[in-house]
Amino acid sequence: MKATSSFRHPEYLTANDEPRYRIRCPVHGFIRFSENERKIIDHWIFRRLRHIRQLALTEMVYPGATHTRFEHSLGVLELATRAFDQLAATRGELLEKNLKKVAGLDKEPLAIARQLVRLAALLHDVGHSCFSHAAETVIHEGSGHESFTYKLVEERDFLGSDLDQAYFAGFAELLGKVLRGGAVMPPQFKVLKDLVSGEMDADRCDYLVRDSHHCGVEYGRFDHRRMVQCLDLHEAGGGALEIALHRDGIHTFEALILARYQMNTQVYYHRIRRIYDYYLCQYFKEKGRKAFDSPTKILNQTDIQAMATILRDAETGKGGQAKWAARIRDRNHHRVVHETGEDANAMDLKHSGSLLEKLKVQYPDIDFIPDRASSSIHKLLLPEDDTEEVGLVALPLIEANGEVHYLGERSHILRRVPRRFQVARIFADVSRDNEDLLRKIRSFALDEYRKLGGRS
Amino acid sequence: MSLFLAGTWEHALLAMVAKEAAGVSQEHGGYLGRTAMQKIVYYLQVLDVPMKYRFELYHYGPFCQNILADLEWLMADEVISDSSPKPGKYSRYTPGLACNELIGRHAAKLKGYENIIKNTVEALLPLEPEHLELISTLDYAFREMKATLGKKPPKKKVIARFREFKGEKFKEKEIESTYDRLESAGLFT
Repeated sequence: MKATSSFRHPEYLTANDEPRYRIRCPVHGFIRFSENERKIIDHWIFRRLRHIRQLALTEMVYPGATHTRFEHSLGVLELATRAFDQLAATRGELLEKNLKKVAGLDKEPLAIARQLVRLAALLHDVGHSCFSHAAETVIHEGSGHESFTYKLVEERDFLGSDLDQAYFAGFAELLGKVLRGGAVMPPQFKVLKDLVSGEMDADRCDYLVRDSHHCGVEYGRFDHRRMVQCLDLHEAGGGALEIALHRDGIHTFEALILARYQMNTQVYYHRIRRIYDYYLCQYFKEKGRKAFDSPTKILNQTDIQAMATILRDAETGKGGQAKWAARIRDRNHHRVVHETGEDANAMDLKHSGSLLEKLKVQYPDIDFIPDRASSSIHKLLLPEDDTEEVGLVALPLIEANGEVHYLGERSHILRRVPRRFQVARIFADVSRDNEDLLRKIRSFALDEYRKLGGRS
Repeated sequence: MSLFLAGTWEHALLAMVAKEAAGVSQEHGGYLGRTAMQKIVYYLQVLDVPMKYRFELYHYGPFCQNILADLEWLMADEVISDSSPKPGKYSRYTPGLACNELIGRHAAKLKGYENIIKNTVEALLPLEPEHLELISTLDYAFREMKATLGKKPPKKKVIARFREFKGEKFKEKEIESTYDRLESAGLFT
């Protein structure tokens, strides 16, 4: 047990910010929220997340993966709050002193910060359109769902005025800063931002555990409750605060990184999920940008509406999009004929590109689709191995005697986990009743890839 | 040439920067290394060119990890080449065989940002990496202080914040004159 002499209970801005309602979550139990938060949760812009699935068409592989961004967002709110309350309870004075430097936080800094963390967590995914990440490159071309989230939160025509009315004038702008991060965020907010999206954030913790639960896999489970209990603060140079981990939490943190690695390989970048992401992209490309060329149009599309259109297009067979719609309706997908290892480097990627050309020459009648998937697993600095520190995070580890080290120095397991998951694949349009052809293509691809010097 | 991996708007932006840099490099010197690429793209974002990249402050100023990852894909697709004599240690990005193909795919949108990209590359490419670190970190410090105070911060506070990042690496006079130049260029409003 840590000393509790400076223990602080959660602070609320007004009576309307005290927890009053509760909702049952399959992962975290009851999640409580206030009257003011209820207004945001019931707002039509947030409510639409009830109809946007967390994992798009992953249900083609894991039929249980039909959960939504709505329940994930509530889960992140719960976990981010637990983490904030842990820090406020044990290091409240330090946190308060730091936050007071920001304009508008000179009074009640902890109560405002707690509310900012809760709303940032709740609204971090509000910019998602139908099928979440799957068709994002088409729907949010050149900006991503994140930029759309900032717009929805900050602008008065969307959630901005409701947020300011529920809390205080300027609240939406402060919230936008927490969500945006980088140079437009006061450095004192870094702790708040990192609780929602950082190296040990509520977003990841929730989606790993929740997606595992719904997919029926064990890969993403780890002791997130223990990790929250081990969170601490560290005063870096210039008085800036950063999130640290108490020594006791090192193994749960390692488990988080392993969970992330395995969920990426087994769920998020599963080959069948990837090919259906591709179909969705092609489908929306064929439909044309007009379907998503205004915020209102993006907001009006949910998975339910989009799927109804997909089924209708598959049925009528009209337009270039119909063939992709039919593939989705019939679960009739291209099949993998080649894939690199999970740690593909630049040369492997290049060899995959050359292999694609060879396959097209060898099998001119077959449709091949290239794919590459890449995701960061962690960005932790490993002082014994890294010669360059740029882009890496030195996560402070507080030893039992108060000394500060870096997690990368102490963890033997992290040194073995690749920082980046990266794989290139080639899919071929070969039907299930032509297994011989599939075997031939796979064998040809493997031989040629090896000749090119690629690693399997 | 068929593009296997590259194709996003951000990829096209990086390709365009490499293409512009090749022209500027011939006329005014300088080369497009890792630092220059990072800082040019950082300034493009400051100048409101849309992109998904998010910059955070690291040892040599604002930096975005995803740019490095994207450059790897662009090199695999021969959109960009690295002609450094010591690849791995240093980089010297030049347009590759597929550079124009990728730019062509995003030509309509790129046209709207052509001048900003050209002017930014022309202004930054001839600078030494250390100078790029100085101006971009100063810019980052200005924006952070503005976000903290909720209004334009005094020069003194920006420089103090810069010192927190950089310590004594740069001389006071050098920092002040750079601040003045950036302010008169209209970047500190």
